[in-house]
Amino acid sequence: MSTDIERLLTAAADDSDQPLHSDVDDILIRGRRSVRHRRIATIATATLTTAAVIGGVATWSSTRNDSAAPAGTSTATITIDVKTGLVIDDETGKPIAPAPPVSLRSDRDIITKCMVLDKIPTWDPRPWDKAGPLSSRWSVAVKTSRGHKVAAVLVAPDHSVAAHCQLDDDPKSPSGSFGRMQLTTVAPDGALLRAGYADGLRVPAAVGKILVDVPGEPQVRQALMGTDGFYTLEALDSRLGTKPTVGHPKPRIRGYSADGRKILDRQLPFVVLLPPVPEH
Amino acid sequence: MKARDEAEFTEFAATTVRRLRRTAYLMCGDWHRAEDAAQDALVQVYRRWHRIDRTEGLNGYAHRCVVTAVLDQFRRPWRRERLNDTDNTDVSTVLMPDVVAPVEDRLLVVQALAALPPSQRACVVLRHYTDLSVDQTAEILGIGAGGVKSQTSRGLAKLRELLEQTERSAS
Repeated sequence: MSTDIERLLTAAADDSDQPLHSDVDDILIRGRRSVRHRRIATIATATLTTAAVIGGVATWSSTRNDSAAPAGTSTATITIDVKTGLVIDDETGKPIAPAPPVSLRSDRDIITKCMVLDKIPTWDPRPWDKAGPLSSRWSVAVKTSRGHKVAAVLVAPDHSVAAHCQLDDDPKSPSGSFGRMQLTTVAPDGALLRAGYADGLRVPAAVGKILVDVPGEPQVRQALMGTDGFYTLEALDSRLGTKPTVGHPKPRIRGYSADGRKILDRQLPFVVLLPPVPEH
Repeated sequence: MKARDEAEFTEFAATTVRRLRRTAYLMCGDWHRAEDAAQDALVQVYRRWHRIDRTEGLNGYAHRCVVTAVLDQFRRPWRRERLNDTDNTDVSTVLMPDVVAPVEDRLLVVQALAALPPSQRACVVLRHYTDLSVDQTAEILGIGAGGVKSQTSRGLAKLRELLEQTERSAS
């Protein structure tokens, strides 16, 4: 169909009277030079990128609070009193009360019972709460129980909200409390979940052991660690504790990594004092 | 590059450089620029020699490079004075002093090609001079097969209009 055009194009491109000035050797030389330049550019880029990464990491690690110079002592120091058999916290000189036990209740049972509390209307506005009602899709981050009392931290499927649920399902006087908290990025010194409560702190995931020291108490409390940095101190009704008092000593919370380094040390800004440590 | 690869490339370049230069000439209408474009294209082929499919993709890649080289020349500031998009220009009155007589002069064909928009010109040259398929042309120009067909059709119509060559007169 277009043979006429093809014939014309072929005739137009006739280069029989046009000598070729290109030398293949020149093309080879240009090609080699081009490849050489590309390799040099690649190596230079890789070198600069590596230097930038190393420099960035060095700068970052030198400015970290918990990397080069961990707060306080570099390792968790404990002593076992040979007379009493108690584990003594060397920093405070107080015995360490063991962590509360993990609840044997199933997650499903805890969530089902906490769902009743979640359905109770509240009047506090929570514009940040988009997690929806508590359901079986939520997960239990940490749970402990003692008798009829249960304490658990529940986390929404999208990890935007956590709920602190306390139950007392004693058939004679059932009670409970349920509160939602917005989950934010955990700071190196932890994130407050419940203002004033020593068991209302979420710690970085690297923390493997938590010790809570309440001034005036005869012992240091070890927390029960859950997943994702959540912990709890005890399944006790916090109403038994002392209400905040101006000038009252504040609990000190210390966190240790798996290798014993202290990577968290902070005081709560104010406190709802804890009930006494029960006899284990 | 290994010596054997260089020998293969040298053989390929020696046999292809004239063909690439002719294609570039139809695209730009200047033998010197066409030779520059052919050289640039072969340097690009040299850079990717290891990664090109030597059986089927070599010719296509070389033509893609030469088309790109010609279009790059147009984009350079010192080349922009060249008339490369004269869709609305009635060049037939300029190019065709005698529209009845068959066009024998090669220069008139090249000037008529130069009057086409670059994309139409590339489609016409690649399809009807280098004899590439629609798919190969589409791959070289980075457009769809439908775009190649429509650009080729418009380019041919415009070219015929400029040359006053209808299929009937050709036959």
